[in-house]
Amino acid sequence: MNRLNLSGKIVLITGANGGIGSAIAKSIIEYNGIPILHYHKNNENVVALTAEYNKKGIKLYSCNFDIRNEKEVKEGIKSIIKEFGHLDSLVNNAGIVSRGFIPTLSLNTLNKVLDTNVIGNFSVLKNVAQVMINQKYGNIVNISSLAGSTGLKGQAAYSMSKASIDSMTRIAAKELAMYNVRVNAVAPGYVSAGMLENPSEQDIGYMRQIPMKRYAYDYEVADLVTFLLSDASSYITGQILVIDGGLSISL
Amino acid sequence: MDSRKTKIKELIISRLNLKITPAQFGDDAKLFVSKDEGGIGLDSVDTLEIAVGLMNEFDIEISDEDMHIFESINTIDKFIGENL
Repeated sequence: MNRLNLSGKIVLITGANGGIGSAIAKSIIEYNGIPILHYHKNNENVVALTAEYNKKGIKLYSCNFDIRNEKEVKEGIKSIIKEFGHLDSLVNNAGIVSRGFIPTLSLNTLNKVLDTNVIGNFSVLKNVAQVMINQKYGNIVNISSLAGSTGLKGQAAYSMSKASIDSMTRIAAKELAMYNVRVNAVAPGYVSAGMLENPSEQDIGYMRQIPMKRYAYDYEVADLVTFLLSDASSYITGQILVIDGGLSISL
Repeated sequence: MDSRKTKIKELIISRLNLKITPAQFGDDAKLFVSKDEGGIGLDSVDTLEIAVGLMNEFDIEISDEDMHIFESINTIDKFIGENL
């Protein structure tokens, strides 16, 4: 048996309209999973992906709710259970980035980032956990960032929010293990959608620091997520798996 | 026997795999007092299981602020009645 095969598992991916979200959806399909593509305001990539796979005879499912509104989260998850009867896995991917140094970071900006990246992700995790406790099985992968453990100067709100995701992952893993639910996180370093045609001076500077001298491709992050969703990682829980081309060991 | 209280008892017995029948489960029996002292002998981890089960069964919300309701079947039933 191929333990990497997702064998028809239903996987909710929040923030599936973004680059990494779309890549995760593609990887899940490649490994025979069934992704449910969540989006909130923008859905052009979800629409394009759906059309692309429709042409190949593969139907994609999507859903729309604001993760910052717990009522909408509950309704969204209820709809998924009504449609599919169960939910095997969650990829908690929705998030926003923002720039700002601590001494000048406004509480407005900080609250905005925490509202989506922490409260929003928490709401989804909490309500999906309830479903998985009732099912007595499940699998959750949170998308964190290397910034969560190292702290990126100039990205205070984002770094703090991802540190919270790391903590949420560990706590949820401990609380849900008895229900046969694994919870892990993936913490990427720098990621680009594809080969950087014309890297900026800033990109070149960043890449110099990375032992592998390049950014991750989004499909590399996606494949790590799919590994965690599969039975090939069946004894892994509570872990924050870093994927950074060696950056963290060179800092 | 009140059918909702019976449902609550059956849910707790089933989810926690308790070796008692609903008829043996007193409405006023203290859930977290040890069996030796006449209670049901549950622990805090069991609360999560019960809470999630009740939320699913009765379509209500139970949060960390409501943990005081898990004293007995009567207190749980009262809470559910107030929140349906």
